[in-house]
Amino acid sequence: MYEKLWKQRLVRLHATLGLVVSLLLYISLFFGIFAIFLPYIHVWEKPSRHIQTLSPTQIDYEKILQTVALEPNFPQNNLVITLPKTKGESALKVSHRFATPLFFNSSNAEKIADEGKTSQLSSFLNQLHYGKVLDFDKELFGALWSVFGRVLFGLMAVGVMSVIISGVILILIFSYKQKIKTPKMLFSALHVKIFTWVFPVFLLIVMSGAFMNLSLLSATPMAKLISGGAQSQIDAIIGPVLFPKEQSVAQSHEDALMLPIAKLFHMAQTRKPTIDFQQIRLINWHDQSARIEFKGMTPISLF
Amino acid sequence: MNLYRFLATHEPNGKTLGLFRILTAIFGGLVLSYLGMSLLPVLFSSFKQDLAVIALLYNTFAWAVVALWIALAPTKLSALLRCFLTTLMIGMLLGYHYV
Repeated sequence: MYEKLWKQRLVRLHATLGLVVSLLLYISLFFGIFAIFLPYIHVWEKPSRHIQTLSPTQIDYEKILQTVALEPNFPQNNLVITLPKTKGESALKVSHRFATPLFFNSSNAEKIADEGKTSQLSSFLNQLHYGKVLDFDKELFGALWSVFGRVLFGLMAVGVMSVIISGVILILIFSYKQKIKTPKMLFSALHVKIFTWVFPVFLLIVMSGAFMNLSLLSATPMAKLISGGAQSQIDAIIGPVLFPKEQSVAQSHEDALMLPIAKLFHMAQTRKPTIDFQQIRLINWHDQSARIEFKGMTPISLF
Repeated sequence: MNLYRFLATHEPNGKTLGLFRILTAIFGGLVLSYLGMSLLPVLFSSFKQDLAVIALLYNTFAWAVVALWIALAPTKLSALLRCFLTTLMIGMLLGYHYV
């Protein structure tokens, strides 16, 4: 008797929660398509990025670094060069943790006047994807609405997770193998077939959404609870695990002649031909203790 | 006694979930999952930082699971107990650890 009630409740919960939640989920998934193309739209919407790119072995890095050295208030050690074609970007980016990045045309090594945030199409589409779209201004009113939108989408993600879990339980306890007679049964059969295959991916997508929209916004009490009130930032607790600190190299303050970066890049590429290099980091450049770091990924492997 | 009877009797059918279950599931589930996930790194303090990552990543998933568990309780009373007793237990463990 109670078993029947439980099953009835589960079916009803799955259906009602699914209906409520899918209204918002539809918006999120629809604009998620634009979020996939975000880097490309981001490049396309800026006129300064409609330029040709050179292959990383032919770029004149030294000229770029000279321009960077003349830049006022730009830190010179630990520069990170992001190569063109990384995430669809056509410009070469020189960045530092504590400065706004500079952009260069890779074919003639000249600085690009970056448009900044004059065109906001890609970020607007991305905000539609995660619900931050209601930020009308930078004041309290807009900030409140943007938090509201994000929390709303986060709650939707949690709801979808409940729907997925209840759906999996339903598939496990009922056999959906009767003969299809009515349109409703056809829907049910297709629904089960499709989502038996799709639910793990779906769960991952939704879980990451809930993480970014709810967990990160509400991490302060958790940080306090975990650390016994010592920390209010969750980064201080999980930072050492996720981003282990690198050993800093001491400068020797003796000048040294550096090889051209393009040549070093060529050497790196011949040693590891499978890696798609995306970033170059220069540590203590023009010093005896100079280091160069090439960062990239193997496009074949997923992780 | 009247309130007890109202909470403890089974509904005739499971066609409607009811506001009581919805509220206990959402808010009780939130408190329970959040405290429960925060309890993990506190209990196993040798893996504190790794478990903190897990707690931060999966507290929303835990919320979804716990809300489902509370909403599917056989009676209103058991829904209430499911959210309050477990929260009380976890709260006591946290309190025992810190106070």
